[in-house]
Amino acid sequence: MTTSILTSTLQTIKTNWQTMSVRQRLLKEYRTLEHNNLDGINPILTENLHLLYADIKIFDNELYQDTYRVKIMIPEQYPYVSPVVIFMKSTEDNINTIPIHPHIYSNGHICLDLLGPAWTPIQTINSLLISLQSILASNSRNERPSDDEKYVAKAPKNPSKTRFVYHDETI
Amino acid sequence: MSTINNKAAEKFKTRALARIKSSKNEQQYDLIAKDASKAIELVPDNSKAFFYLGIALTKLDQPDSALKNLNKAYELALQTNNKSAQQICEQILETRKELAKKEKNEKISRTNPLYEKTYRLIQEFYWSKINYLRSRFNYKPFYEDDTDFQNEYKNLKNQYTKDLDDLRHVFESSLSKDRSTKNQIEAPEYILDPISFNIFHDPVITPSGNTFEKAWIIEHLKSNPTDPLTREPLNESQLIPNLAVKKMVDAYINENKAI
Repeated sequence: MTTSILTSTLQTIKTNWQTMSVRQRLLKEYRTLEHNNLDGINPILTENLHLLYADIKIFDNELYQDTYRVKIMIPEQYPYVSPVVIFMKSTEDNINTIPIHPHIYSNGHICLDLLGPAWTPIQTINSLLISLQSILASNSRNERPSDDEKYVAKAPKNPSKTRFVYHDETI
Repeated sequence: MSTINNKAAEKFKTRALARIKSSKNEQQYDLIAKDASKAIELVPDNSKAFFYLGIALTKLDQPDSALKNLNKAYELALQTNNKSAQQICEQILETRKELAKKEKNEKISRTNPLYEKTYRLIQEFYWSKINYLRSRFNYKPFYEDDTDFQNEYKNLKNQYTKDLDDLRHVFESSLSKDRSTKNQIEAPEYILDPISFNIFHDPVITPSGNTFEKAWIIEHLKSNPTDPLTREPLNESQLIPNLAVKKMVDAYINENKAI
């Protein structure tokens, strides 16, 4: 019996130390996010270190007049694995649209290689938000992905489980 | 013979680890240090034992010898390609911070005896407060596990460290005006690892010319053998120590006496 208690204690210590390293990096990232005051990007931190939101505004593009909100979930293996990012609606704060874009599905999932195989640990939440802002700002096509209905009908809750095909390099 | 030693060392190590987790007061760290040194005596190439000894010595306010043990632990962990190298790196930074603090304290008290006296007074003040707190909870058996007790204890401890920090700040700024403002500057970006965001401890350079912290880049290469910046193929044998950056870090820490 004593051994089982010991192994469970060892397990908790191990996980504590693993997440400790990530915590240090995340705290520093959040500090820069709050201090940088990027134009049109407003981060909303939560009590949970592994969850935050950000409001994104797009300038100089008639397609995107609203403020859009993304939910950012930080996995345990961060920064070796990219965060999970989804566009969302919020009835409280009057954010009621998901931006229309050929790479954004109507359920908020985003088909962006940076959120998959192109992620490297030197990227940050900061750089990710800037990329999101710029893919919207540079878009001129007012349409959803061609397979939107099909995808949304059977999409998993967590988009990191989807294997997107990054077919279009031009957008 | 060696297997018996191994088993015994393993037991000492495990006990040390269990105590690190459960330690409530400084007395425990004594025992942790003892267990860990015993394990090292039996099996001298055990990275974890050196690591625990380093943690305990840091808590026991012996950062210089702690640092030696941690460096040893780091080398051994790298040799066996152990993931704990990352944690050891962070503990090393933590210990260097403590060491810098200690050296700073010594410097201030050398130049100003009043600092030492005030420091002692604050210490005594909080000791009596903690004793009073203990006597208030004394009637309960196992009162140290009581959440109310733990909360109040933690509060006191936080106030205590804050007071000491404030005190040091006051004396520091009286020591030399321009120095104290310099201390508040955050570490410059060129001595920070772009993956862990920590100050470099063992920086390595990749063929593309970018510098990363060794333990962290190795962890990345395990799942994705490419350079994080250029995405070119990269493997562990191509990493070369970047001694110039290491010297820059040492110079920065020495000059600022802070991390």
